Amino acid sequence: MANVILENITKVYPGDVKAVDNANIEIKDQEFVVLVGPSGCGKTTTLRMIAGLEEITEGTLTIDGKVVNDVPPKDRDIAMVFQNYALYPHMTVYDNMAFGLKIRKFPKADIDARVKEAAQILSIGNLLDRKPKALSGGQRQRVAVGRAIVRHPKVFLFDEPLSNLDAKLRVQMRAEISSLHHRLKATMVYVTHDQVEAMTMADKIVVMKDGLIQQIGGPLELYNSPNNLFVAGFIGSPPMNFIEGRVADNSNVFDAVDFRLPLTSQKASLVASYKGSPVIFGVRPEDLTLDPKGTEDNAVTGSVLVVEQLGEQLHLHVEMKDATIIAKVPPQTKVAVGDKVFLKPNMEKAHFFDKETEQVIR
Amino acid sequence: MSRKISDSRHPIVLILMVIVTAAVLIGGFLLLQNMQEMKVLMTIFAVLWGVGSVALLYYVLNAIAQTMPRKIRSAAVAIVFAGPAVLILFWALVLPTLRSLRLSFMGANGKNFIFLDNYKFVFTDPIMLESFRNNLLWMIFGTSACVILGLIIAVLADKSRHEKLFKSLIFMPMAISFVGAGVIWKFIYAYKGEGINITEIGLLNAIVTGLGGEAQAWLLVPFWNNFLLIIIMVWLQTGYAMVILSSAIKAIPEELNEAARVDGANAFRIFFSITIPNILPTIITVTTTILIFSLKLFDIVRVMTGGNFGTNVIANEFYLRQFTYGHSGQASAIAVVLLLVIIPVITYNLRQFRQRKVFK
Repeated sequence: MANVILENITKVYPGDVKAVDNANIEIKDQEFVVLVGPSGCGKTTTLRMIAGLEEITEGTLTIDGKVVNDVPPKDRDIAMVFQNYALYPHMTVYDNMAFGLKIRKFPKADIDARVKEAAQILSIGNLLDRKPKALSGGQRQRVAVGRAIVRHPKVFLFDEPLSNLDAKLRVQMRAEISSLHHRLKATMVYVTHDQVEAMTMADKIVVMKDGLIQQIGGPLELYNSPNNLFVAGFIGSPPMNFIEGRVADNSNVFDAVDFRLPLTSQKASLVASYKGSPVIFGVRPEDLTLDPKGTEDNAVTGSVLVVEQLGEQLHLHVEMKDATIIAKVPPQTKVAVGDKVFLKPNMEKAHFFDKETEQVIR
Repeated sequence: MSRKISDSRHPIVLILMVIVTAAVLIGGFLLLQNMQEMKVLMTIFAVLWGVGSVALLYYVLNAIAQTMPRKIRSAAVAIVFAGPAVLILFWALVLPTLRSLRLSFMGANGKNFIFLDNYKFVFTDPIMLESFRNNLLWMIFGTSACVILGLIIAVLADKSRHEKLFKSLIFMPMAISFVGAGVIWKFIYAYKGEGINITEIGLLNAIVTGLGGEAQAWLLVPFWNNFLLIIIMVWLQTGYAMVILSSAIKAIPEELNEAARVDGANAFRIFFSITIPNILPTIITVTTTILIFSLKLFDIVRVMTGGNFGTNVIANEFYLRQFTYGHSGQASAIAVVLLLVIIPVITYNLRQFRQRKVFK
């Protein structure tokens, strides 16, 4: 087990395409780190650089205190689970898992013990004699994970391992990988584009966009205090609502033309320097409550566009002049499409972003 | 409710159609015979009549098949459409084979029955034994050289900077006919003999003399001249092996190689443990295809040495027996033996084609 440190890591592809720009990430021993972002954000490239499958253009990569920039993958003591499983089609499940150990010239009995142990952990003991083509997607996924864990590597790398599974299986495997992490106490780096996977599994999330790291932090930290508009909108489902407006001249009211929201004294002092300037107001769907007694002077005002009943809650899509926002309200709420509603935000949990830089105002 | 199919015709209409078709077929044929004087008109008529009457024939046969009860209709339709092709195949392939088999038990002129004497010749005549040995050389060395070279080039060229250029160069000889290749290589192996005013024009001799050696009559060197001829086939066929194997290698997902790299395999290990097993079905197909090729090889030997100087092969000896010595019995016996040798390879090859998806 080991820590992994990325220092000023940059990847430039031929044709001057910058895939990863000056990434700094510290992955501690036994930590589960998730790299998350939309496709093309550089998360997979980052993972492949850690694996050694991609050359590092600039910067230093350290695994367990040793600089490994020029160390080939086989000598980095890492194991990787690929998006399409990458099982060897001509080998049985057993041989797939044993392959890495055979190459490393482990004694036969040792190989057998490790493969059997891994098979037992992943409950694929009855599949050992099968070829990959005779397995379902979920079983292949387990074999791919098994191939990684038999090696007892310093670092586990996962490249969108669940993206080929159906929704139900994905939830199940998510939990299994999490419990595997606790059981093995291994350092794991996990790439996904799914923020739910990131939130549910990670000790630490690295949000990336266009090759740049947007924010690094624990799931709650990212959820409660996002650095910028992108992170705020990416983490959480349904996403955070954004409303454009300006800070009124007396600095204690947010003015969105159609309605106005009074600011708490703490928020007012935060945006004091934006007096009269445009800002973006952000509030999560669960921080909005229907207020029948609300007015245009103290609540978000709009008309109901869609009502989504989910059983444990109700999602209200509310249309305003130039935005649609979503509010989570109790399921028994009586509303109809077209109703004019007033949604009172929890101003304690409101976020304000600079319209120019899209950075949060702190 | 009627059980008849809506488009089935009245029996009288059908009988009329059959009569019309028969009239068109026979009448056209008779007409053609009387048109010998007008060549252009005859050609045009022959084309129109040929295509038209075949279409008509199929149409009428299909109409008849449609009137049959549901149960036998599908079989009847199959017979109507595939039947003629099967008949032609039988006439063009099976009958000649059977005729060759019969001839192989006959004497030189195809008359008196001499039973197995021709086969005794095939398996005991020194020239035949030499041919068998040589064909074995072609099969073993020719085939393995083609496949191994093709594989090595395919792997080395894969993802290299000038892959397309390399592969085009290797593939180009494929476009040359065996006879054409023979002419080219005749210049390479050319030997003019010794004497005044004689200049060597052979490329190989030029290299040898340039290095201080002595010019050789290469194609006369016993035993080794076989390999000089085999090189020609290797030159021609390596491109084929390379192209097929290269496409198989490219079909292996890159993730597989990466997984092996992470698992700790070096380039050699990846080649032997990942690449080879994944393209094994293709290797076998390519090998058997070239194997069949070298079994029935004829042109190169015919052009280069005519089978002399110990380079004879089975197909060439067959040609000599049939057309030079006019012994159809011995020629047929050779053909039958060649057929029997090729059948298992072909069967294996076909089965391999069918099982292509074995690892997928």
